[in-house]
Amino acid sequence: MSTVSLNGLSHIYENTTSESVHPFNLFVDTGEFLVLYGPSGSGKSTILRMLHGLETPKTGTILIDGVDITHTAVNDRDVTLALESYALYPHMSVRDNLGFALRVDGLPAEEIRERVETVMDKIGLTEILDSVPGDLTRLQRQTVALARAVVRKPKVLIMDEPVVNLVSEQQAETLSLIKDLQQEFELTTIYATSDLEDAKVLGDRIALLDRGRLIGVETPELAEALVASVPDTDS
Amino acid sequence: MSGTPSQPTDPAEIRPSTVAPARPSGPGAPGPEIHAIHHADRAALAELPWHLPLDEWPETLLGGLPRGISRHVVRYVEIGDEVLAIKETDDRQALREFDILGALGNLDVPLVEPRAYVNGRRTASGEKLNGALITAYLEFSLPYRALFSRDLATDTGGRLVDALAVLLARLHLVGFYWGDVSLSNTLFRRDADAYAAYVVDAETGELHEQLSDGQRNMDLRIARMNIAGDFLDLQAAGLIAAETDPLAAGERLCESYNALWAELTRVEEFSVNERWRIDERIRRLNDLGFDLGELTVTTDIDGISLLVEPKVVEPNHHSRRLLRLTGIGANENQARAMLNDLDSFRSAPEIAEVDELDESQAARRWLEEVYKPLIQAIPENLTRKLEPGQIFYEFAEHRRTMARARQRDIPTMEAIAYFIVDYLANLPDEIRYVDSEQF
Repeated sequence: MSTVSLNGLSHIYENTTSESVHPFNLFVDTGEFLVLYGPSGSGKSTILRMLHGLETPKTGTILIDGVDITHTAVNDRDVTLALESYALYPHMSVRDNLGFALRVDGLPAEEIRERVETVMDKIGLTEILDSVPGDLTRLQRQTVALARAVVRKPKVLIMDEPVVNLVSEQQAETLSLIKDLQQEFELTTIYATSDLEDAKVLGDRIALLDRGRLIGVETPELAEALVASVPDTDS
Repeated sequence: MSGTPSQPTDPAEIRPSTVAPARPSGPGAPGPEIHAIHHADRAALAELPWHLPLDEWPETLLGGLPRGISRHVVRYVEIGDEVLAIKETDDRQALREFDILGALGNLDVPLVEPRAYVNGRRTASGEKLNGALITAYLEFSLPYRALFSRDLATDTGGRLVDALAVLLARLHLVGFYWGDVSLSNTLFRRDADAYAAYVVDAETGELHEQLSDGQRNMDLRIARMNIAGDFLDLQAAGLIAAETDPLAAGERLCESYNALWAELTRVEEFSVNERWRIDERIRRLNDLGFDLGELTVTTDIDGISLLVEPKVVEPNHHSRRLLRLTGIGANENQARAMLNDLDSFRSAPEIAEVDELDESQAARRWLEEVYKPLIQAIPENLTRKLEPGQIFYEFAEHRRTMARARQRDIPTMEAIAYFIVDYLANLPDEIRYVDSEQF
């Protein structure tokens, strides 16, 4: 669990004249689920990319637990992008699918076993630990894919419209899964979406973005009023 | 290479103008919109059962051509003499990947050729289905798993990883951030004693003017993780030895990539009296398979030092030279092997002592006396075994082995006869990799 502090952060793409993200401040508390909500082009993905290390801010700083990581290499940030891929390795057991990233990170076998079993115990799926992905239901596979990020205990979990490519029934299942896991493990999470209903279901708070500007941050109950207060927003 | 990255290219700016306009699949039907580059593809694709999810398509339509771990259903369909790969994905993603593959193709990146995308699919009862991306099946390519089950030569994994490192450096040079670098998202063709890698899945990719160090490092981070996963899965499947260290493969990719990237991009400083070092740099790039298209040389304020920085480097140094001399198209390492053979041919006493041939004259004679006799001697039923460039490489190796064993030079026609009967005929067909196992 960690805090994230974005201070005066802005971004501009090369060969453009206006900022893709105008300077803004935002604080995300430990274990909080913050949703960046806005239409396409509003800057939410760029903010996630700056956090992840894919884009360099024009101005400002990014602090995690008070430590400035603005210019820290991507490998050393402890920010994990979850659900980019639902693909699991077909010949590896669920246990190994969950643990291999920890092996790559150099953790001892005993700690890997403990972390994997703890996560699966908390979500009530220890019985599938030795199954292979082909024996799982689609939802179980998705759960394992999300648990793969959780088991790494990232300081910050980020997700960029992970359900946008799913059909509606799967979207609902996945959103529910994300919320359950985030609450269970109290993960500081920043989630980007252009769907207000999704934002309201997931977020402890919702940050509204419009054309690169942070308009405001509200609770889900007040989010619609905030959206309505922006006259020209596309949402 | 560092600097402020550009905004990812808007797909609308790079879409090929030859894409056919949308139209329903049948009169009056709210059927799919099939956007194909070639008219013939569009007509043939319109016959397919787009109202069914791909995993429900009848087996009679399909080839058993697995591609690797995929988050999507992929099916292969024979259309005329060709096989097309159809990947089910949502409408927006199908169009986006079609555009990205097209843009990368224009930048001469090795990849599967995009042919069409399909939007607006619905079931017979009107339920929405995902769209589809259609690419041409890359002949003579193999997924990495197939190579592990077929190639008993040592260090298959290392050679695959090295090929992927070259591909990644080429992608980064043109400003492509892949976002999901892995052996699973790559196809491989034999390239002499190495492999050539091709992008097969670009859905997470972004095309920029130039990549930031952060973007390149993220690709390396993802590659390191994914390749370790690929190798661990191979181990779980029993395709590599239990004592192999699966994590070492990811490290090897990073080392190969970093060494290549440094050679392709680093700025060197040396004295104005050491201009020969520019030639050295060019030679090293050539040895790595790259040509120097443009070089920046700056003299410092005192006129003592030179700063030398490659600005444009182009791959396929040997392929281009071979093509220029002989008209033969081949992969980079195959071309390198053929050029070596051409050099040996030119310097052989019976050629060098009789005629003083310049390089292009020697190339014409080599083509007529060595290359064409081999390729023309291959029976039609064996042409599906290997690409012509690889046939030549394997032939040259086979002839060398025979000569060593018999302690004499083997005349070309004799060597060809033995090569066909003893070697080529015993290889599996690789033009289209067919396997019933679905990965």
